[in-house]
Amino acid sequence: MTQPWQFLGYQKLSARASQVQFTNVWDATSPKNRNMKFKVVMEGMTYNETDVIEVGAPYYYCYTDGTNSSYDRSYYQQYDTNSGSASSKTWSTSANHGQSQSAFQEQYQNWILTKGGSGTQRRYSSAEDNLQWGTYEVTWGSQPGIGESMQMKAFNVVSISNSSSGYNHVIAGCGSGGAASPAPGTFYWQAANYTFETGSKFWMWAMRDDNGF
Amino acid sequence: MSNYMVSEHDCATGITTEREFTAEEMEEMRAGQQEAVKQAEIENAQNVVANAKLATTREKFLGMGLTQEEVDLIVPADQEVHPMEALVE
Repeated sequence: MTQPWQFLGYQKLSARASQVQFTNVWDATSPKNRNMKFKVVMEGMTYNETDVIEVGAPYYYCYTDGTNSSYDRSYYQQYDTNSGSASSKTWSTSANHGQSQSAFQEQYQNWILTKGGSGTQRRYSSAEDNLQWGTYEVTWGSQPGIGESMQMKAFNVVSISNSSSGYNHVIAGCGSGGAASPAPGTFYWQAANYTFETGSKFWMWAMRDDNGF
Repeated sequence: MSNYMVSEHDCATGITTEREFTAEEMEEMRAGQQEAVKQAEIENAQNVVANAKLATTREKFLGMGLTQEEVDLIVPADQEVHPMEALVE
């Protein structure tokens, strides 16, 4: 039997930040020893400064600092919301570090607040300020001795041309075998080579996934 | 960007703080970016090989008398190859 969701925290950025963290996502004095689920939501904003891949172009990702932070299985689906078609690819099936090290890191087919590419999901506020935003939810499951998994869903995103609605569904997933960390964990949102804009919002919840504690 | 900022919410205390990256965090981030470039190089190499096979397949089908439209329906589009010079800082 699962327990109710517990609200862990909320952040609204008062200044630009390259990284947004939620620390101590479970109690240090009562380490997690049962299955846990976390839900993290971001309503992020950025500016489109680069319409093509160029030197130091921004990209975005999120990850945790569990014992096994290297996700050895990652799967990513890229949806072309202009045409309604979808294609998919596998990031990595290796247990080695690499692109799978950070969940949902994708330098080119950015999953969020992105740049370039007629098929990439994002939303403009207007042509004048070029502000973009997107709402994304990540579900992170942690099972000691079994492993961790993450899924990402997109909400309220439209295509680069605003010609069609976004694909509100799971767009990426990844998993890792092995023992999950019993230590207090941290969840990270990372804007590489750029920042999340002032006003971006972040929420987090936790839930024990069974009664045995 | 010289000063990378972190917004940190401690779920145990409910306190949110804003601070600059530590030297260790800067190092981790740079290492991650280098890793991403390395991964991109591997992916590009794989895609170049895949695209060559797709091109050969298209030629074979065209040689069999299929139209370009029919071939396009059968053979997937090329994999994207990213411009690597754009990724090196």
